[in-house]
Amino acid sequence: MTATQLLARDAGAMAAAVSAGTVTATALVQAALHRIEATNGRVNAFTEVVRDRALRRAGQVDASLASAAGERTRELPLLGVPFAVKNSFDIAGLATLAGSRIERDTAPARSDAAAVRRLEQAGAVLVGALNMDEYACGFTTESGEAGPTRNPHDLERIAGGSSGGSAAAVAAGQVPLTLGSDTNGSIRVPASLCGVYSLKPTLGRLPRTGTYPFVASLDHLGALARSPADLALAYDALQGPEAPTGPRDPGCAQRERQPVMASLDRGVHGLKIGVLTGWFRRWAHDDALAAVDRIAQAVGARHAVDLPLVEAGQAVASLMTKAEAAALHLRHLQRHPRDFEPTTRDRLLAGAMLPAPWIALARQVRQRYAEEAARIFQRYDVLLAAATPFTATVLGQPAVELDGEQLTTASSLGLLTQPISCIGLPVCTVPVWGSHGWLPIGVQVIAAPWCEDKVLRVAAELERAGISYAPVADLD
Amino acid sequence: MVHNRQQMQSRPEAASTSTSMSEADCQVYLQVASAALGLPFDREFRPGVLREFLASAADAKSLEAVPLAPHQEGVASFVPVVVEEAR
Repeated sequence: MTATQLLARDAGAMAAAVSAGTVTATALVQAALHRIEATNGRVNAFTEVVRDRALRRAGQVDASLASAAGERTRELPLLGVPFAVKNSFDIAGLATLAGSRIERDTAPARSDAAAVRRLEQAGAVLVGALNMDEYACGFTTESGEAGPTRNPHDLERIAGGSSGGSAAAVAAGQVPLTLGSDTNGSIRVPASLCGVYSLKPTLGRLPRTGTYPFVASLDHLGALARSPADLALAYDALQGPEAPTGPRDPGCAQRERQPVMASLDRGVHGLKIGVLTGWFRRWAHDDALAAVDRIAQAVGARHAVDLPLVEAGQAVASLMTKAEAAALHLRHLQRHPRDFEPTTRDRLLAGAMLPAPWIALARQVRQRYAEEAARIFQRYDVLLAAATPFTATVLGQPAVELDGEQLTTASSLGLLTQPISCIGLPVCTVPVWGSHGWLPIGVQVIAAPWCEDKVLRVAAELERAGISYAPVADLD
Repeated sequence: MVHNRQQMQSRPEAASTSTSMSEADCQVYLQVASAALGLPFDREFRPGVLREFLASAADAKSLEAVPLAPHQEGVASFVPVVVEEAR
C-alpha cells in the first residue's frame, strides 16, 4: 500500500505500516502535505502548514527506526502519523491566533502546547494549525480571521465550529487525527456536521497547558479522527498528570492514566444504555432523531431518560461563557472594541455587564444539576442524544426552524451539546449516515465522569457493526 | 423574525424578562454600567449587546426557578497552592 493510499486509512493503520517498514514516516508526511496542498484551497481547514518542521520530525522518526533505538521507536502508538491542531494550541515559533486577527501580531509561542508534545512523544508528526471561530466564540467557523471553513462533504455548507478546521481536515483526508477544544460543543458540533468521530473527555482530564483559553471553568480539549480506535490511541497518549515543576493547568485534575485501548473490543454487553428524551428530542430535526433511534436500536437501548434540570444546565453554560469570556478580553474590549468580529464583540460586551449574582447563581445550579445527572448514572452507564439539532446548513444561513420557531443558526447548533459539557461529562460522537440524503449527523455517546472507556466501547461496537463510519470526502 | 432560543422562550413575558428587569430597564442599566465600567456602547453596538443581555436575563430568570437549599454551593475550582508547587 502506498503512502497516498494509507492516508485514506486511519492513524492506527498508518502507525502499523511505519512500524512494519512498509512505508516511511517521511513518505506519509509528504503524502499528507500533498493532500493539504491539493485540497485546502477548497476546504480552508489549515491556517498554517509547518512543512519544514514536519519533514524534519518525520526524518528523525525514520532515522530513529534505523538506529539502535529502533525496536523501542517501533512500539510508539502513533508512529509517523501526521496530525494537526486548532490554532488555539501553541506551536513553537508561530503566533497562537485563536481564530482572531487581534492575535496576528502577538509574539510567537516559545514552545508547543502540552498536548502537542504528548502526541509527538507518541511518535506523531505535527503538520499544521487549523481554522476556528474567533476566540472559539461560535459554532460555524465562519467568523475566524481566515475566512470560513467549508464542509468537505458539501463545500457549500458549514463545517460547524468552533473547531471547524479540526473536523474538516479529518473529513477531507488531509490528516487522520486532529485536536480541538470544546467549551459548549466546539468539538462535537463540527464532528457531527463533518461526519467524523470525536472524543471530548471528562472536564479536567487533559491538561490544557499551552492553549488559548475561552472559558476556563468549561474548556475541554479532545481529539477528532476517522475511527474510535484512533481516538483511543490519541487519548491514551494525551492523558496523565503533568510534571510537578514547570507550567501546569490549574483546571486539570492531574489524574493517573487510565488507558482505554485494551478495553475497546469489549463490546456493549453489560452496559445499561438509555436514550435522552425531552429537551433532546424537542430541539432536533427528524433526521437527527432518526440517527439517534438507529444507534439506540443497534445497541439495544430501549429506555427513554429525562435528564433533570437540563434547560437550567443550558442557561448555566450560557451565562458562565459570556461572563468568563468577557473577563478574559475586558481590556481589549474597553480599548479596541472594533477589532472583534461584531457578533463576538456584542456577546462579550453583554457578558462584561452581567450582574454578579446571576453568575453566582449559575455556579450553584451547575452543582445541583451535576448531582441530579449523577443520580441518573446510578441507573445507566451510557446515554444517547443527537450531537446537533440538524445537519450542516449552507454557508451564511442566518436562521433555522426548530420546534416551529425561527432561531439563529449559531445559537441553535449548541443546544444539544451545551447541557452535557456544562457538567463535564465525557462524550464520544459517532457519525451516522442515511438519515439525510447525503449529509452525516453525529450522535453523542455520553457517560459518567471518568468513564471514557465506556463511550469508546460503544463507538467501537457501532463501527464494527457498520452502523457508524467516517469516510474521506471525495474531493478529487 | 429570528430569535435566539432564550429570547424566543421569554417573549410571552417580554415586558419583565428577569428579576423585574424590563427591556427598558435593561437599556438603562447597560448605558449606566457601560459608562461606569469604561466599556464602549456605541449606537451601532447597542442592538446586539441588548439582544445578548436580554438572552442572559432570560437565562438568569430560568435559574431563579430552580429550588436551591441555602447550603447548596457552587463548584469550587480554586485549590490552594502548596509551597512545593509554587513556581
